[in-house]
Amino acid sequence: MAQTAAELSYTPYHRETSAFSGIFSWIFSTDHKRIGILYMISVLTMFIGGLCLGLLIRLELIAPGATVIDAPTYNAVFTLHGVIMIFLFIIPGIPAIFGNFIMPLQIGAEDVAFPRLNLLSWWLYISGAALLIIALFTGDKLPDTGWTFYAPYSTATEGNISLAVFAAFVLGFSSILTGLNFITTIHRLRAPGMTWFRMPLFCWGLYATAWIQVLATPVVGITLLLVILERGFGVGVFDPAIGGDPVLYQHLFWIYSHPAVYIMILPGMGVISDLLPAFTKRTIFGYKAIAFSTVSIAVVGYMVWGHHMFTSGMSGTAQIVFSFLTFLVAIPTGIKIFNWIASLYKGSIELRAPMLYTLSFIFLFSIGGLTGLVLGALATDMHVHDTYFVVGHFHYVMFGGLGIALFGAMHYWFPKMFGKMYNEAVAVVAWALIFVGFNVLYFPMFILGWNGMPRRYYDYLPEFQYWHVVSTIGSWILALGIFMMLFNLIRGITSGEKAEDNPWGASTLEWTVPSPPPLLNFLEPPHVTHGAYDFEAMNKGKKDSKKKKKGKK
Amino acid sequence: MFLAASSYASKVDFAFYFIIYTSVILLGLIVGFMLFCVIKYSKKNNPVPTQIEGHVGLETAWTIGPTIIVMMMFYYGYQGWIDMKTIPDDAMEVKVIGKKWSWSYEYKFTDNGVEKVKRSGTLVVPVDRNVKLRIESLDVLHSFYIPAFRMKQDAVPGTPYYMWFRATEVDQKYDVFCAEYCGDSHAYMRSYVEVVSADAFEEWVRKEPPPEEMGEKLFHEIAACSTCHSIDGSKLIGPSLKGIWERRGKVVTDGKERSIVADEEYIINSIRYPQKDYAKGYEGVIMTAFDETVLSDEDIAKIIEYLKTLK
Repeated sequence: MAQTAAELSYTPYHRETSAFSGIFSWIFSTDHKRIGILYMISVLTMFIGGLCLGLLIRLELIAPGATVIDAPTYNAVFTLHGVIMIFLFIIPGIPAIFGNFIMPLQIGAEDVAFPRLNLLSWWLYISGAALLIIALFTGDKLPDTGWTFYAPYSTATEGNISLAVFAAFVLGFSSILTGLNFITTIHRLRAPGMTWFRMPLFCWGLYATAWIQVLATPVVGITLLLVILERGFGVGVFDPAIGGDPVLYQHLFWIYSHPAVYIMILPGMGVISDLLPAFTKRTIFGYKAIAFSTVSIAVVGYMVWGHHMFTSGMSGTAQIVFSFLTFLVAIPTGIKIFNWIASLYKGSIELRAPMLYTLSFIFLFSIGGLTGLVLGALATDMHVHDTYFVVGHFHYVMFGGLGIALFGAMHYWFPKMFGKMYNEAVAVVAWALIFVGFNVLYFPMFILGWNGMPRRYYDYLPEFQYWHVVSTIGSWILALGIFMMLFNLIRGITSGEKAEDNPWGASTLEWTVPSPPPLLNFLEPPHVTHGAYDFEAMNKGKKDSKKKKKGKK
Repeated sequence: MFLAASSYASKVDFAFYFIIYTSVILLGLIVGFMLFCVIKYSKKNNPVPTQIEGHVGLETAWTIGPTIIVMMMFYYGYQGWIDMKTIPDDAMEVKVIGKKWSWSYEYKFTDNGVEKVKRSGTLVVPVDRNVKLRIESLDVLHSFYIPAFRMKQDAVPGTPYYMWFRATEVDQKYDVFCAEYCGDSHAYMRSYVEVVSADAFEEWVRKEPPPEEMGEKLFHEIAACSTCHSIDGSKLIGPSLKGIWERRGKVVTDGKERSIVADEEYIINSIRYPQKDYAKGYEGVIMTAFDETVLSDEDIAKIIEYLKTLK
């Protein structure tokens, strides 16, 4: 492949000199790519922590009665597993890592709109994580409320709640600032010719997410402060003993936390919409339908929080309305799935590792979404609410959705981020273990839940043991697959083969720059003339530029 | 699947199986189409892709089709639920009290014109009779859950909420769980529903056990002191009450240690105001306070009679 003089002499972003050296050139860097890598390291570290806690939960549940830990420890472990996975892994997850690294490249920008604010977001993330860790080692008792911090338990328990809640509060600001940054970046910094409907769908996903981050997160921030006020100063907001209302807490909490579910999943859906064209070599089916369904999920998603509270004592009318709206959200989600599978039709499909993750995303997320219908329907939710059915459902949606999309994204953008390639065969074996382990781990939870096994139970009746054992075995297979995948990726960074600029033959803008990209991304300012997934225009463009080069010679 | 034993359980199950079977069909179609494409249009079989940007007809079809399907799901969900929410006027009321970590039940009845209250640690109900539950909590959130009846309602401190059911199978015993996380022994906050014949129920509700036997029932079931206090010397969440009567011991009051004798006054105080004196070694362990609406003075006297027997 012919390389221009500029390309041969460029300095990749990670070798660029700055005012700082060593680790400081990273933790004080305002380059969106370095910040993306910082997030990748910190978010995955937290993920491994949460994963180990998850394994411990499953191990404890392999048999009824006390197995490896006592009940208060178990309660602290599932609380931490939830808090870490939600606030430190899933919510920042894709936007913080790939939104930072890839989105400016995809829209043809040199960086995000507010690079210093971006660095502050990462520092807030690290501060929040540090506060949470401090909360573990101070106070009389570990936080033991579950990640939902339901009042009045959370305002009365002797567990070290205030600090843990404050950690979540700080993390909220990290999320708000990232959202603000992305909205501004997408509005203001698109390259010439990059119209809204030429943007990759990943950017649409991030854009819709960013609005939720900015508009919904402050609500949970205020709520968490009220919990601290009640604990510290006895202000009666949620505890009825001092004049509060516990159901109010649930409303405030879910007004944020349900939209937050879409903060978690929309970027994952964006990733999938980008990966499909790359491995089918054809344009996505129904670009606008996917883009609009993304926005409508974000809008309608604001108005469905009450479906977490059907058994809380909320009024009957509210229950009917929330159930109805919940079913409405299912429609744009369905539209996405149908458009994705239609995008396979008459493509030229290559089953590389990222594509395997993409297809398993569609499968697992469909199961997650369809079981969500059971929870959205009033009669059935009364039975399965707060049982393992819910646990199975949200793991399929969150982990099977966002987690698997994140793994796919890690494999897909790996060559761009590091300029190296991982071992494809090992990646496929790891994927197979993850896919099998995932289903063995989480599917039995639907059966347990339908049979009445409540969640957050340290101990259970003997009749539930069979499926608990199956589930625990699944956790081992899944963990093995994940560690194999991470090992393979790390080995790729240290000793992988050099990657090309566009190893997948993908059509979006980030693949036109060198791997890894230079500090300000583009050697020549990009000028966009076609849609994100327009392979014909891309190939024509290539031929034209080759002709030009030949002509020059 | 497992048993359904209330009047509305079959409607819940119908909604469930309607959603599940529809979902299985949809998932089958999705996966089937995916596999078909992956094989038929693999790079080997189809090296040149066809660029298809979309199809208005298809987009419309898979917007309208799923809309109809989910509206049906919503409707069946509503159908089962409206039965649960419509409490029949003739229902017999039972009070359900949740606290850390037990359920107890209160029945009001008239015996020869005298209003009486029957208390129990098991929810005994007559078959084929509408039972209305008034669900309360004394401390934090709990959730009253009977899987066999497909019924669940949170117990919220400060506000009673109502639920009802009609048990359809006689001489059965079902599990009751707490479904809302409530602390250390959440998983042990269990109880039973016993469905008996109408006659057996009338007999049961009028039967009054002797004081020390009632004390034992209060200790183990109704107030469920036994969740946290063993009677065999082993340490649970609170101190064991083996040989408690007139035992000398140390307690911590306002951060200061003092000696006490576990006499009547001390035991009454420990039940009414548990946070006043902490048994040494258990400082800061929060016990639910039992006021007179939960345990009357006579109840405590019965419990003390029972404690005297724990040598």
